[in-house]
Amino acid sequence: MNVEDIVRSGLNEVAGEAAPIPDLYSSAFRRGRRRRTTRRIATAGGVSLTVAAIVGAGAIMANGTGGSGSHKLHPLGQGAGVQHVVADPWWDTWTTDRYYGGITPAYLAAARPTYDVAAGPEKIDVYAAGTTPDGTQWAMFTDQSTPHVMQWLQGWDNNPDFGESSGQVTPDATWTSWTIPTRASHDGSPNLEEWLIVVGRPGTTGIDYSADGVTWHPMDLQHGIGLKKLTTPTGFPPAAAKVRLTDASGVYATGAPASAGANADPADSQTSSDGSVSNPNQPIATPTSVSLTRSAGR
Amino acid sequence: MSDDSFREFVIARGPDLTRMATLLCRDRADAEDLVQDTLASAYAGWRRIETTTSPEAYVRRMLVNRHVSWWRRHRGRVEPRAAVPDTTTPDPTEATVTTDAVRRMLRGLPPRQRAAVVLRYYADYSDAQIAETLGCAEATVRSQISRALATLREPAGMAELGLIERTLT
Repeated sequence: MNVEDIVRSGLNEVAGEAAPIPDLYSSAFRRGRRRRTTRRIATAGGVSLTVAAIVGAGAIMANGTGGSGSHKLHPLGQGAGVQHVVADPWWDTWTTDRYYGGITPAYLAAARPTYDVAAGPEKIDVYAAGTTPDGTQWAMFTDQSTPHVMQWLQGWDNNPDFGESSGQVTPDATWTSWTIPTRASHDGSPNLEEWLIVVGRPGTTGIDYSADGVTWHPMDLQHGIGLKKLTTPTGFPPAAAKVRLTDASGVYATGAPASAGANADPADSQTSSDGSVSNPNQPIATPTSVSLTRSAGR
Repeated sequence: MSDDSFREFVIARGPDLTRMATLLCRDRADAEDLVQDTLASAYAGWRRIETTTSPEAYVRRMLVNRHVSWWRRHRGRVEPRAAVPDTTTPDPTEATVTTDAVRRMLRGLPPRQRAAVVLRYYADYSDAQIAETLGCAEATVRSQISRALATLREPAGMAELGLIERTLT
């Protein structure tokens, strides 16, 4: 028996052992309906949603999945814009288009994933992006097929680094990109190490993390972006966790349970409480809180 | 949008997509995620997909492409391993020995090579079909499969294959 025959036989045996996925139709239908709704709204509005009740946040925040490699962010450009956002866990409430020091359209275009060749590259919603003085480009975004998964991607010369060219990148940036599960997508897998990434507004001088909301620990702050590897039973911050962001004027944002929408099911919460759709490009008031409230599930 | 036709599709083709995902992914959890995510995307575009010549081929292609994209983006946390640690009690049956060895071999291949091998030797796709699915040239498909088989013929791979041969013959 030659190699090809062995591989063929082995593949069929492995495939034959695959057990059916319980309730596959139900889960696919539920998740597909959510995506279809998101696409329709995005198409109709031309923008992603912002829920006004939750936009009072001071940081873009997500859990990054990454278990290895060194982590270094280069100095961020001193963009004039105010960095806002994001109240994870409400993936449908994040606001988009916050740019730090500018980002080239070519980089973002190259970051678009292609899952379906016939349909072409996915449309992406960029929540924050920037270019550092040394040319390092980064972006935090979702794509339309998986809007509940935040993606963090870093690269150079308009080429996102997907981890396939680590030998060619600058020594300070050996880590590259992750897919970042949000609470809306997290499957509750236990004992995961995940990176918490907090993007502060320009001029941020300190970002602290507290698992219990009482005891604070400084995050590794690199030019306005806080990084911390979390090791928790679920891989996500506990419900009581908070972050605190500081700049020259003092604390400008402290994480606290969201004042609205905290009990909503993200799967069904595609519009704001009053049904309005706001423009994410519109400036938002100085943030006052960051939501870390746990969601009900995927 | 026809929810009924999508339901029929999932019931009829879901098991096969699951088997395909099992071959492409490193573990059961990833395979389930891959299938569910692919079908969720398929549902979102089902009106278009169900009018294609072969919705099954279309969704299968979505699954393979999604797998390759996932791997690229997950590389920071998932690295190929030469051998997978035993996490279950070894089963003495020949079939288990065979399937375990094949799993180990698959895991040692880069994602595109693995996808090409699965499409060729499991799905019985032609070079042209594989090229269309992976969005590359037929020559690239042939080189991917050739490299994969070459890897399997290396000493480590041959050890695995020798194990398989002994159980099959």
